[in-house]
Amino acid sequence: MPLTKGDLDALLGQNISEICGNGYAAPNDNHCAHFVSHAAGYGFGTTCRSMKAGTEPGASIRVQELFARCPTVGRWADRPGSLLSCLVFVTAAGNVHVSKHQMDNVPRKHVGIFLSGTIWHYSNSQHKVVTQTPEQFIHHYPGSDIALFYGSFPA
Amino acid sequence: MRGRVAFGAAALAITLGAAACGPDRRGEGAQAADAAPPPGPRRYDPTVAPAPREVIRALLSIRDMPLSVDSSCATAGTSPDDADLGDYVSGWLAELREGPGKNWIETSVTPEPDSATGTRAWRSAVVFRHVDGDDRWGWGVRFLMSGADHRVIPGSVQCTGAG
Repeated sequence: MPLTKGDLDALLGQNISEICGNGYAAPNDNHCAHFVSHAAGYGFGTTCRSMKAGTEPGASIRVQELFARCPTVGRWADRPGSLLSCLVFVTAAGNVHVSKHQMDNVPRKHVGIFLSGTIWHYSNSQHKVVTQTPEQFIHHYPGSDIALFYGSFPA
Repeated sequence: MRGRVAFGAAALAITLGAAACGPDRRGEGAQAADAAPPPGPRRYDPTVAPAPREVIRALLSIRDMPLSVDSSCATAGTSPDDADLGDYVSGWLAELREGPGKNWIETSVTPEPDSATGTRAWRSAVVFRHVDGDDRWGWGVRFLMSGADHRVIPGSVQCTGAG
């Protein structure tokens, strides 16, 4: 079932420990892909369950593995007008190889869910789910080379 | 059990020239080494957990293991050209640069039997961490160490990390 604004709003303000039933919630880990995958139901690649030996369905935890599974990807400016909701990635442009459908596993990369003009993502510094506009999200990391990329939702 | 070693870029600056500064003991040392029998495998009290430096030593010992050893390692390297755990570890260590925020190496050890033999083993992990606001990550390796000789048990290696 497609994600709705109501589904995502229900998660606003929550810590990852309230979202992940497998207990993969260390505050010094990066939970951006982990949050997106629990919210959207992605359980491929490396998951919280494989890392924590939990009993709940596992959610994917790595940004580069989400990017690789998106059916279509590209620069944010090239996002098709018909794509009203999707995953949105932020990192230095040089880390993303659109033609190869590949993102390097660099430290500074982040992902959220874009829907109805808003992005829901997990703030690792605030330790909770927040919302931002794309104009705010692109400043997640400092630097003139930081760029946004879209990815249509993995099946 | 957890250990933590905080450091900056300066700590990585190993003084490679140090060996050349001391007196030349080649003559006396070489003679003693020739006479000594080759060392056998070290034995350990299986009830005593490996120290943080032993866990790191164990990680260094598997540097040639290919990233194909486990699916969690396959795409975990910072470069698509990374082929083995040595590449993977080097890539993440190189990210612990001097600058804002904190860098540290975290080790952990918990008892866990080796499922293949039922003997005492230690679930061990080394994680390289960085925290600077939203620039927050921890990537590393975990594995079982034999309680008897502290060697890494084959088939137990996973690459850890998220984000």
